Amino acid sequence: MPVSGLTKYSGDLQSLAPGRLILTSSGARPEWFDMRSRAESDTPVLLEIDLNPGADALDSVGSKVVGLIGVIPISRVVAIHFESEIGANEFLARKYENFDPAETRTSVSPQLFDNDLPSVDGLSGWLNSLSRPDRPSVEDVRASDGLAGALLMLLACPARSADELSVRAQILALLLSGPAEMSVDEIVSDALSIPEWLSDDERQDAVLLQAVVKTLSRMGPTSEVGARRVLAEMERAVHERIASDVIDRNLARVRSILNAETEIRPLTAAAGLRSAKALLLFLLRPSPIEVLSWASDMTGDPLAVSGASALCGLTCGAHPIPVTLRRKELATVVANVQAARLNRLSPHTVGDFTSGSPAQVGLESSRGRDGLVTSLYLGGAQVASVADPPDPNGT
Amino acid sequence: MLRLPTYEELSKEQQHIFDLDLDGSHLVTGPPGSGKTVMAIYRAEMLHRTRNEPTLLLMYGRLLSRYSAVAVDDLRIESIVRNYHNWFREWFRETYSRPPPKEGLYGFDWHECIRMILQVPPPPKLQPHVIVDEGQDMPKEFYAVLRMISRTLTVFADENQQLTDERSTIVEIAAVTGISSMAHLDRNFRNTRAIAAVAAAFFTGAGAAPVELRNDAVDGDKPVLAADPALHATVTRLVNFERTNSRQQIGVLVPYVDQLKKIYNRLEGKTKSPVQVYLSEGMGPRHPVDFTSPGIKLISYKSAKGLEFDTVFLPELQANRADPEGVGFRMNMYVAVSRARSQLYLIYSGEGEPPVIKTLPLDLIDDWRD
Repeated sequence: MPVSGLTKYSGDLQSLAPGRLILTSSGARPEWFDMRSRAESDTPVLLEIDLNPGADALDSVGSKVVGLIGVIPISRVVAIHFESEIGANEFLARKYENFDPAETRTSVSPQLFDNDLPSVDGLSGWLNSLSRPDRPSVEDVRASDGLAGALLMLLACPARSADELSVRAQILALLLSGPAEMSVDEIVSDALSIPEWLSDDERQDAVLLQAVVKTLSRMGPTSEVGARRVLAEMERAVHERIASDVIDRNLARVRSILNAETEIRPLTAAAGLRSAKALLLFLLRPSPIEVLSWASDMTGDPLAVSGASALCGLTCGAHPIPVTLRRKELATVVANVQAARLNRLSPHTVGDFTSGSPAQVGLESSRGRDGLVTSLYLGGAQVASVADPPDPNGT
Repeated sequence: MLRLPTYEELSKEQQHIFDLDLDGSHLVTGPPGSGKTVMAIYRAEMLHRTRNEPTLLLMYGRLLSRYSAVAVDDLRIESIVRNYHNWFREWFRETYSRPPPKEGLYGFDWHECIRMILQVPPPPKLQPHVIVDEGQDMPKEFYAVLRMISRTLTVFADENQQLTDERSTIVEIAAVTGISSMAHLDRNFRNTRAIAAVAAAFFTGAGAAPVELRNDAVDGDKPVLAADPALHATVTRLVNFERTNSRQQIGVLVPYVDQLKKIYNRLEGKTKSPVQVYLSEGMGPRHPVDFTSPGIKLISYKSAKGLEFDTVFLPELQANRADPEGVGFRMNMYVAVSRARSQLYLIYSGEGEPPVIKTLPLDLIDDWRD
């Protein structure tokens, strides 16, 4: 995992061997932690990983330290080990919106921090001699994060209708099965370009959708650039491809709402290009929690809301999505898919984290007291369900 | 709405503050927009959640206390956010069965208070964790009391923002409290680059210099300059914005109280959420501003100090009576502009272009005028 692909990184052993994960079978030596960049509040930690690597992914020094090429999903982290009680307590006190320390088992294990292992000199020399893999690259990691973000946000979006769930199931299946060699914006565009998601004006909608996805994939979150700037960039991208009064009218409407010339009115499924509606909802509420609030505020077009959620995830990536929006079993499926995709980009094999078969998307319907209940599943875990109330006429 | 940060949102210097030892006392300094209040609230959240002991967060101003108390409630912690003046009065009464000696109408006779406290010292370490925000506005005698009753004391302060005569310098706070752990925030975390650039254009050179933006500051949309034919058009713009962005905290800031009432009367009943007005003492009937709810808050430039909003509107610029070349005007504009996190609208109405527009850095602004 290229550390430069991370948006924030505190130096550790990985910085001496970019593109490598440094694994030991028995812990570490205290002096190894002096090889990292110093900060006043650094706390040495060791991650215990459950791993079964492929044979050609390893370089090793001695029998106890290996430098692995590849990506391991966080679901494989078994525990975080600390040298002292103080370190563990200070770690557990720090909670972030996108990381809850209580979710991972912690252990105070001073014995792991004082082992009979290669010295700093031996380790440093060996790490600097390791080859540096070209892939997965920084761009690969960021693009993969966008795809994972789109998946997680679609999984988090509240369900409003059985029809929307059915369409969402198709989109999820396409996102999950996107080939590693296909770019992420192509995967997302193709997934959302199914006729069931697009409006009646399919051709114009598909063109606009491509421009929207391509533009957002290139940019950071809209809060970084500004909604008006994003819209201007979008319009330029569209005009490079096509001259379309329909698209221009839709984007003009988006602009007038962003400029507070008119207020937003309740959306309906029938009016407007769906990609324009999804774009508008996303630009007005660009953060993960805000965009999902449209599910209750804008009930007239649930497909536009789920589309906006996917665009949000694509733009911000998986990493900042709050833990409250990431159910563990679903996040594990996405992380495994993400790791498998990145590992397929590398010439080295590092094991299969998808248990041999891709995560299955399923829809089930059952009739109960609340009417017809439609449920969406991923990998056996229920994602969302919605009940269509019984017909009051009894038919 | 305040929420916990994502790991990536905290800069290295904020991360350092976030990671300060929870069982220690610290003095954190920083200029406006550097995130002191936010860091104070996060620290209270961490202390409460992991230590399960009362944490007291003391603030100076009433409006700022309410703004922060809401953020604390939003994080679901039971720490008490209190105005320091009220807290001290209640604490003294509970401890000594009488109100604290006063000086003048509102002040405390600190000399006499300290004499009484030293005569009968309070039970030590009764209040395990105390956090003080805007610490420069509290007297050093108050810190002597806090030192006696707390186990850990963390003070957030900026001595360049002292409001009153009862102020303390950083050196005095450190000396009285015995705090030796010092930390500093010196980056602007509030504004986008585009807004910070416009705010900096109003800086006069007096007082603390505008701080540099954090390294990963967002660019954001440029502030907007608009001209409306009359106030009613501006009100329509405000209503459209509020009804479209119904979850945002929107600050509508004006220099004068009479403008507050004029705009409120035109907005009332038209917005999705009720419009709230804050009037400082003596200016009219006062209702607490509810920062838990989104919507428009109508506030004067002066009362907005320390607050921030997703979007800020500065309407009726033509009615500003201050000398556009004067230091007072520029500093007020600096404070008002820098309240906006991501969007800023500067608006005037009526015929012609008012003199204040010449003070605006038009190259940094989206000019929506025809």
